Parts: sequence; structure tokens; C-alpha cells
Amino acid sequence: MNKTMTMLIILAMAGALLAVLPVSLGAEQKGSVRSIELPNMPVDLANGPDRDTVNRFCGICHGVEYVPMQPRMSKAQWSATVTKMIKVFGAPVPQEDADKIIGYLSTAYGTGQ
Amino acid sequence: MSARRFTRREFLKAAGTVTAMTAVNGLPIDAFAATYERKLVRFPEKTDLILLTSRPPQLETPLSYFKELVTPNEALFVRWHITPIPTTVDLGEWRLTVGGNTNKELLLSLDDLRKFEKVSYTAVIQCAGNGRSFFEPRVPGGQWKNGAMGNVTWTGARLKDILNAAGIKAGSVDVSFDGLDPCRVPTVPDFVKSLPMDKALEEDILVAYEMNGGPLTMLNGFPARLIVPGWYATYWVKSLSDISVNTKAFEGFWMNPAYRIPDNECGCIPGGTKPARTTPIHRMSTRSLIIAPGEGQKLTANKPLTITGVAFSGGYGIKDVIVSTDGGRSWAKADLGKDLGKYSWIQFTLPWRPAKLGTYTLMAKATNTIGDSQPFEGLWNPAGYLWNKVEPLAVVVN
Repeated sequence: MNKTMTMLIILAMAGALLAVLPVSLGAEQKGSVRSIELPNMPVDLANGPDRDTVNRFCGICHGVEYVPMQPRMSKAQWSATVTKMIKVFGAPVPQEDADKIIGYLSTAYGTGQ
Repeated sequence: MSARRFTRREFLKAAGTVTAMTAVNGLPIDAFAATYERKLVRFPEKTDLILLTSRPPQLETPLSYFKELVTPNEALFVRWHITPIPTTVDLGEWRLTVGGNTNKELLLSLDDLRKFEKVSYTAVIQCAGNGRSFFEPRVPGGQWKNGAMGNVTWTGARLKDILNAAGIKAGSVDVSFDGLDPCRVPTVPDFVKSLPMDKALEEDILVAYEMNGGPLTMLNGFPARLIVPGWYATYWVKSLSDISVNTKAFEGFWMNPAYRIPDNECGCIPGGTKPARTTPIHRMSTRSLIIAPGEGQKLTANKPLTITGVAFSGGYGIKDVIVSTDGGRSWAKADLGKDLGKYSWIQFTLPWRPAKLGTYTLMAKATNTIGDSQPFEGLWNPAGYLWNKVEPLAVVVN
């Protein structure tokens, strides 16, 4: 293989690599201010009654991606988790809405128990 | 161990890892997952990482990056607790406040921090919940696999020097650390951690303003974070804003009841039970991980290859790593790579030429310099911490 050929192959490989690897999003620097913008990644929870209540309250402190990420849990386990969010983490959720949230989670993301 | 067959979950895990290597941005990388897909996403100053949650960002490092001795900044995992997180810092305004039971209060700019003696070392940073998804019975929480860790060269000022500049007064018992993460719900506890006084004064604890020679990425705690080498990253408070010397033990939410383990030698209890007493988690367990070949990878009979991986312990350094290619029946001592000090991970290698066709179960087991090693069965605790089981890894030779 001659030198030109080798060079062309290297260039082509580098080009392919650049095409595959998108440039990393940087931080913005304006004077002494450094900032980033978080991408929006909407999450669609499974259909079901009271899904809006889950989105509204759970989303105060964390994305609802937390829900599908969890192992399937029984109603007792979901109830313990929601109670922990309220009693331990201080999530401002009225009892009536907490009950709706537990109902939705144990139906849409439950074990059937 | 030798007769033990792979569970279905381990098979699914293997399948997921192989898929991960060929995944592209935004596509599912764990097609077998029953309830959710692990996909690759791109956040500012980061490469494609595995998404756990986007609010707050929790991003896991794909295992292929652990082929490198030092983890690149853009590949280091991300873990925040509560949304929102700091996304803008004005260094003209930012000051690290150091006060409490001190002779004077300091308000340190980043330039002021740089005036302290500059200290640099490489240390493993690992989330307390790394490996939580492998717990059986399963436990709720961030379902990390093995990618909530990395090995980074940190540079900064000694916490001890900063505290001494403020002047610690008599009667001080601990030091607490708060970051910029704003807490917008008044009932939700602000993320604050503490270290006992003697721990805080240890030589190697840093307020770091550089990772791998560059500024901290915003998602990893710009402009400065605490480095507590050997201890789990829950103490490594990001985007530091306040350091307070306390005369009464700090007992905020994130020290109690959060981030605690059963108060016994293994930090473990029988699966599904509740601990009688708990204690704050701190030092990292000894662990190792085979990085190549990857789980489920197809190999060719009689073709030589090198089994490689990383091993580390909670600040004691690694004495040896043994590797098995037959599910634990026989073991060989691996060669250890470049030693970057007791807080760094060390790479291990073992040349291997699989002669026969079939499935092989690879395992690695590390022992640190004080004799701590890894269990063959997962140790269980309710929060899913301290995971360090010897992981069987299946490869197929054909």
C-alpha cells in the first residue's frame, strides 16, 4: 500500500469517527459566569387513572423516570415508598393524593399483589 | 460455586451489557429489561452516558470506559439527589464560607482556594449504591449497575489547611458541608453531610477544584467539591458553598436516617429483614470488576486474549487479584498494572487461551493490603449499599 493510500484511509477513518461521535455539549462561559443547560427528556408513564397526580407530585423533587426504573413492587411496598417520600423526605403530598399515587403505582408498576 | 448455574437475571444482565457496547445515542441498550430501558443520553460536558434519571441528573458510565486507568471527565458518572441542581455559577460571586466554631469566618473565592498548597492524587469515586440493581431481594432506589464509579486525578487544597486558616476553636466535634443545590421545597431536607473532627483533619481530604487537570464539570460539582478518598461519594459534597465547624454533632437528614448501613462488621443482614441498629456508611468495600472480555462476549477457541479489569479498596491499596476461568474451581494470580497510590484503582491482567468450546465463567477476587476481600454471595442491606460480590461473568468460546 502506498503512502497516499494509507493517508486517505486514515483520513476516511477519522472522518467516520467524527461522524459517529457527536461533539460534547460544553458549558457556556460568559465573563465569570459558567452555565449549562439541562436537556429536556420527557417521560411517559404507563396509562392509567391518576397518572397526572403522580406526575404533579412526584415530579416536585425528581423526574418520574424513578418509577419505571424501580423493580416491580407490591402495593405494600409502593405504599411504604410513597410514605417514605412524605414522612422522611418531606414531600408535600396530601393524604388523598398519596392514596391515588399508591393506587396508580401498584396497578401500573406493581406485582399484582 | 463451580456447580452454580446462571440465574435468569444474570443472563439478562449479560445480554444487556453486550447490547450496550453497540448502542448509539438514544437507543435502548437493555432490550431485555422488564420494566424500563437503559438508554444512552448526552448531557452538557458529558459523553453518551446511561440514563437513570434526567431530573435530577443521574447518569451511569458505560463499562468500556473502565479499560482506561483514569476515567475521562466527560465519562464520569453523575448523581444528584433532588431537583433542581446548580446549573449556573458566577465565580465573581461564588465564595466558600468557612465558619461556625472558628476564630474567624473565611469567604474564599476560587483564586483564594488556589493560594493554599496544591495537592493532587488519583482516587476512586464511587456511589454508595453502585450495584444496587443486583441486590436480591431487590431494593428500591437508583438502579445502578456497575457504572456509578470512576478513577479520577483530583487537585485542590487540603481541607485541614483551610480549617486551620479559619482556626478551629476548642469544643469542636464535627464539620458539616453544604453545596449550592437549592432546595425549593421547605419541607425537603437540604443535602448536607458531616465528617467527625478527626476525620476532617486527615491529611488527604481535599477541597478539589480540578479533575484530571481541568475544571470540575458542572454536573460533577463545579467549582469545588469535597474529596474524601476511600469513603463512598455521598461525603464528596459537590458545588461546595459552606463548611461549618460544629460544637454539637450534626444530625441532618442525609446523615440520619439516610445513607446508613446495619451496625455490624459486614454492614449486612438477611435479605428482606430490618436492621436492629444502623450506622453511617463510610469506607468503601474491596471490590474488583472484569472489564474485558465483556459479559456474553463470543471468543474464538485457542485464540490468546487478556482478561483485564480494575480493583480497589477503601484506601488501603490492593495486595492481589486472583482470576478464575472455570467458575471458581481454580484460580490464578493476575498481574497488577501501574500503581497510582492507595486511593486509585489498579488494573489487573491475566493472559488466557481458552482451549475448549463452550461457556466459561470468569471471576475476579481482590484482596486489599489489610486482608479484606470480596464475598461469593451478595451481602444484603435494605438501602442497597456496599455491593462487592465476586461477579461471575459468562463468555462463550466457539
